[in-house]
Amino acid sequence: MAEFNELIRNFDKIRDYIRDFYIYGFKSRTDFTHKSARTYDNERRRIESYMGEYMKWDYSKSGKTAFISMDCAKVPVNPLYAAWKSKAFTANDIMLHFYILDIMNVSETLSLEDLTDRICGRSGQTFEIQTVRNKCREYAAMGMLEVEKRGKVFFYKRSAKTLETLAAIAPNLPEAVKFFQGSALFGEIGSFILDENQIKNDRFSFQHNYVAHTLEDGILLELLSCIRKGEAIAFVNYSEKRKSTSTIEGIPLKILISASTGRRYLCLYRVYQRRFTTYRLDHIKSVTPMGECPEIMEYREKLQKNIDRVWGVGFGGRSRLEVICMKLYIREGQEDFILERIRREGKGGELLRLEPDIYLYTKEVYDASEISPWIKTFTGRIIQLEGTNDAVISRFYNDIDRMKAIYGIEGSTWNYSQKSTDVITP
Amino acid sequence: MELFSEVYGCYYSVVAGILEQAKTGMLRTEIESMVQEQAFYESTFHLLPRLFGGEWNLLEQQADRKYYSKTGSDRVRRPLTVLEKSWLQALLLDVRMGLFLEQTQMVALKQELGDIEPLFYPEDLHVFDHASDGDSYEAESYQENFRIILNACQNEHPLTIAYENGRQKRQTYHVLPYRLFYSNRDDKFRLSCALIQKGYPYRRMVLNLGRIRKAEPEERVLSENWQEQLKYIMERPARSEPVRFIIYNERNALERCMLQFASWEKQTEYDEAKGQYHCTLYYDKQDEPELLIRFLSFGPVLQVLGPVDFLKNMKERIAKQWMLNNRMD
Repeated sequence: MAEFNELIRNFDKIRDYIRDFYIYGFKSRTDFTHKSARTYDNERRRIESYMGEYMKWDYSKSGKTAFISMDCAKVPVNPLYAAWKSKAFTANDIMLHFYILDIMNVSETLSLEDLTDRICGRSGQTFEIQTVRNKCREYAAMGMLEVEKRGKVFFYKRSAKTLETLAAIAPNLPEAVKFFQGSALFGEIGSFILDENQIKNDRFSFQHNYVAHTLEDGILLELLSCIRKGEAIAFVNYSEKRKSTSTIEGIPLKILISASTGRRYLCLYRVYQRRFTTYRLDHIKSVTPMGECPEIMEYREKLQKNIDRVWGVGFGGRSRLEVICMKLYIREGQEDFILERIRREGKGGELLRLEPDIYLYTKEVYDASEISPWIKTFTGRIIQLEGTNDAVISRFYNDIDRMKAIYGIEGSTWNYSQKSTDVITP
Repeated sequence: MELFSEVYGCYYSVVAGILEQAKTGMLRTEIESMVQEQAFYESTFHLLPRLFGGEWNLLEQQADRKYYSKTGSDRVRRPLTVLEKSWLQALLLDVRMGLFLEQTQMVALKQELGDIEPLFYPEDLHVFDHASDGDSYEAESYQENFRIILNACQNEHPLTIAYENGRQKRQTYHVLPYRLFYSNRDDKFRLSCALIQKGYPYRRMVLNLGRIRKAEPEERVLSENWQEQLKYIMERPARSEPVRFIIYNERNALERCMLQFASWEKQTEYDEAKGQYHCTLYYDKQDEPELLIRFLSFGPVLQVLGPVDFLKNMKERIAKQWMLNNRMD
């Protein structure tokens, strides 16, 4: 039996387990059926090791459940970045890493022969020149070494670019890295920089911080590269509904991001269907570039024209726009914060004052069902809801009836004028 | 460009720290504690045998029983990689970078990073539900206040803040800054700070940076043990009784709910007999209004069970809406 190794070679191996432990948190060993129980045990053990204090346990009827739990507003650095810092390596990898960095400096170039001799001398161990060459090539491609060709011989020197040299130009750069590691895309890269420079984020906290999405960053990097190059792609997508994977082709145009849930989507133009479709990044398993798309500018412009009428990520099943009108009771002077919220979150929908304390919000969207959750946040002050999508309107009214039943509210006995500080007199 | 590389790994980072310190010799126990503190939970079982056993050939034990680094220089820290430089280039396109760096510094930095392409471009992204009234990062006064506050956080000195509240009333506060909060959803910074009286921090306060009209460093002398007092005030838990709720198995509620509330500390259990999920969510009192409307947004697929006051507020909102729906015009 192979010895258990804390580190891993393949990131995909651990991605779904971490996600399940964090997002769901109630699954026990028997619920993880897609791989063997032994694989589950190994992955759980690794994740426990990476997550430390954020890993918790509980016992339910179906057995012991392991889950990751944290108040994200209180963590200075996303603990899930640890997954990106768990790549396995060989003894040669780590030895050459430190001896190359140790011997190389920014002003002196060294040939491979020289470098290999010095490494062997310092370590007291023999290294093949080919092994050193491979590592130097890899580090030159990564930007840590600079390479210079003189005749047929390659010379290497250490790159002079460090956070310290850049901070000499911009002294607040380390503070900026502390901030952006928690608030920008690919925050794990900021965390790599902080780790290497032994800097801790003691300055910034992040509210509405959705840590799980770092796990999709490998896919995101590939997609952004294809979007930039205007390349068509084929990708393997997992369908939650069908519980199966399929390969989808199209032109990637944008990444859509929800600031409320952190969820990220690929906006794709599907050429044969002649429509825009969105796919969740956490459902995309792999991406293959398929070559440049000559019509890319046309699709980008088309998307730009339409994107303001998409409430979330749904482009709807029809080309016809749907209208939704919500009449609201808002006490002027006392509840102006509600008006502010509508202006802030209402995505440019029209807000009309019909009479004192009565307002009408109207918005045209491609898929009215997407606006429903937001509408329901005004529960208790909606005088009337109307729209062109009857299913959405009747669902709202039915939902309120169902909620009344679930909570055991007796309409006739509820004395709101006594209990409420927020009396409605429409 | 590879995101998943051992070069960024936890082991390399810890070993670099050990090699730096082991130039002057380190006891085995010192190395062990360093690994325990800085590496993964189980790393002591995997990393230490390779380090001490000679497999990695980076340390040597000498007659004083201490371990010494075999690397001869101070240069065990690596330079920035293309991936890291490309990420920094992308940050230079972010308007928020102007809060940290002067325009001239940004130009010089861009030049220094050379012809490396930004890792991503703002125009390739579309955030579809952030607030439309985010802070004015490009306003000169905002940038100036931000830098004064950042500097005060770094140097731990008090500030006098001229503040305009939600009702446009001006107030002046004497505060000791603690942390800057940022919300991606609200696209706003908030300053978490303590009010000071007679040089003593005494009450926690949160100020919106967008409402700060002027921030000025203060020369006020602080009491002797202000640091402990500040820590006590700021880190004292403001937790409420957790909210308990049921998630019903329809409209993909579980998935939506888990994502919606992912940023809060919570625990979920599946009730197999009833086919429902029971969730306990821990929250700060200040988050209550936000949580309430988020729960309402789920409609009948989520049912709040407690605490009593939270449940009362939910019921009140639903009852009002039901009456509005069923009123006789």
